[in-house]
Amino acid sequence: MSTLTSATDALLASRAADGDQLAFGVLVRRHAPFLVAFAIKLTGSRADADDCVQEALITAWRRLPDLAEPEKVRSWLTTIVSRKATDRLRSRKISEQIDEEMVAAEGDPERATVASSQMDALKRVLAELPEDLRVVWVLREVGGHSYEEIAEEVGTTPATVRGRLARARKTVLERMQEWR
Amino acid sequence: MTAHDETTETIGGSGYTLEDLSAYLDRNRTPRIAAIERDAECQAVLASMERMGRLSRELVAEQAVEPLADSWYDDIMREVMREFRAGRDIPLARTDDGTEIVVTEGALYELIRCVGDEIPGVLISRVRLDHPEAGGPLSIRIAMSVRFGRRIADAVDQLREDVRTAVERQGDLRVGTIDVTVGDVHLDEEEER
Repeated sequence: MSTLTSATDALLASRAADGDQLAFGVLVRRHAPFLVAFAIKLTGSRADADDCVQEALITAWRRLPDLAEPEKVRSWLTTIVSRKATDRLRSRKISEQIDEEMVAAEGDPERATVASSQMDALKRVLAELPEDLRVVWVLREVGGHSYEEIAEEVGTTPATVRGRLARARKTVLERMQEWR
Repeated sequence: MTAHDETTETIGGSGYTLEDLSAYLDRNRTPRIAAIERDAECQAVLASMERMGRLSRELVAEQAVEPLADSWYDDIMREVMREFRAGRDIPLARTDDGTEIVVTEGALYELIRCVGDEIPGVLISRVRLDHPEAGGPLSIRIAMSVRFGRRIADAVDQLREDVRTAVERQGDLRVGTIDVTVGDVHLDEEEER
């Protein structure tokens, strides 16, 4: 018998939209690890990332019946996660929490895997980027979002996104010079 | 920000700034700008930008293979299980004393999915019900996926028969047409190994 784990994303998303909780569970297990890694890069914090992705997935469950193209469910989920993450960053800024904890979380030795030292260097550089630059970098380079989408997500204009992305790239290139 | 820290200095002999190059890269280098494509320094900057982008994707992909704890999923699924989508009520039968028994759309979807998934090589995708008037037959539309190599006509015939039997067994509900579309083909994981 065919099992749900062999089903395509489109099938699972369609069933989940019809109210199939098991299909949604399979979909969640398939994509959550990527979404969490993506959210860690956006928020700079594992705890925030977990919260954002969990919230995003519950929102997704409610909104699935409106998803027009079920085969694009992964990028749809990524967009919901970016919204949750940027909302969280905004409210974190309002409550004036200092970003120290983020840098600490990024430098967490426990998370350092067998990655090449080049990867480690980039990880550090990204963690040290000012938040507004890091967010546009991650949404563009990892999320693959357009300037217009990013502008909407972070509440600014495409021209500002273009400028921030250029500054982010310039900073990354400079600090990664020895690896270029 | 100091002047030399800006992204407005031109690169090489191109006359274009780093911000221009960055936007050019994001448009997939179209339309092609010869002054950039011919300039060695611009090419080096574009290549570095691309490499760093690729590296950051690898960074996320690498972290994405770390499994999440079962408890992490439990938190979400608990919430999801609470929010059952029932949909409309569909009259199922009427008892002698006039009590109407209904079944929810959501429950019928579930029934149809279970019946379909029991058929070898079949996975049900979307289900839609059209129930025009009280007492009239129920039309069902089903989208499904068939395992690669399975004879589609046989699978569709069996699905129609099994769904009709299962739904009609529930009560007085009569099934009219059952439209089936095969929108997907899947491979069974066990067979791939």
